[in-house]
Amino acid sequence: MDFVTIFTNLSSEYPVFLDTIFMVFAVTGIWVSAGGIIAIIKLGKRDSGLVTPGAHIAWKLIGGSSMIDLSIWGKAICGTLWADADPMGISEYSGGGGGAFEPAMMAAIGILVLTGWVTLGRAYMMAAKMGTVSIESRGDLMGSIIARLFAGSALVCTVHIATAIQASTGMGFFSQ
Amino acid sequence: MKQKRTIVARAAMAVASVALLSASGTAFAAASMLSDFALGWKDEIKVILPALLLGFAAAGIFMAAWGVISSITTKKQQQPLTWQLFAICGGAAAVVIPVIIMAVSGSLTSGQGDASGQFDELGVKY
Repeated sequence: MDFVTIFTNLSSEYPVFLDTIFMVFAVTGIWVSAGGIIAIIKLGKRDSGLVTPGAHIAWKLIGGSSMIDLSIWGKAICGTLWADADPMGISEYSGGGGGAFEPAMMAAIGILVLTGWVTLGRAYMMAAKMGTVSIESRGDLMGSIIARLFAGSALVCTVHIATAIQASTGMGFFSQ
Repeated sequence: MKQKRTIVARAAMAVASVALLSASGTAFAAASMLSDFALGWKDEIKVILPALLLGFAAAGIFMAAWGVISSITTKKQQQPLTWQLFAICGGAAAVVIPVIIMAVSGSLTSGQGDASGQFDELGVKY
């Protein structure tokens, strides 16, 4: 039993982990959207302290329903930012199924990919908050949403970016 | 120096508890894997989420009914309506929350999203 075996064994669980991540974000999305619809009732409460209840509802609906479709949005963002419209499925990281790369390295990268999906989901959770923060802090929030979109999609496309760097510099991280 | 000793003690405790847990795991339980936890959550969510949405729907019905009654009494007293219209519209919308979520996600992803698949998986009827 060494670390290679441990990582490779753990990697066979990745598809279930990713399903769970998507499920947790879908449930959060339903909860957030439901809160947004309930906020329609609060529109009538003039002294509620919400600056713009319309934006509050709209951002909650947008963020919440994007979280339900997280996998589609992740693919779209990877396609826009990293020219990789179809990132590797999580099962390709598991059980040494990557082929070219070392199985244990692929298994370790698979953890990064899972982290990337969580980061993307967090971006949409913060997008749902856009309507509730004050106008001054909206820019900060926007910055951290965009940073999370970049970082999350880069983590999902780790292998793709590494091979791109390898192709353009001629210096590889992987022994292919 | 004192701090260093504490760190060593803590690390030893952590390692010991992990070792004990794994020992008891192999002793008592048949191989229960991390992915089994995930499946357990999914089973729980399938029960909780529809009940939660029913709760939202019930709150919506309550608010809409209250809005109707309140608007009648307010009008009888020759007062202008304030929050009642929003309560009626919002209450009606709260009953069909899954449909609204599907509509929004459908228009955001131009119909390519898989919201209905997620709803099926989570046991939400729409």
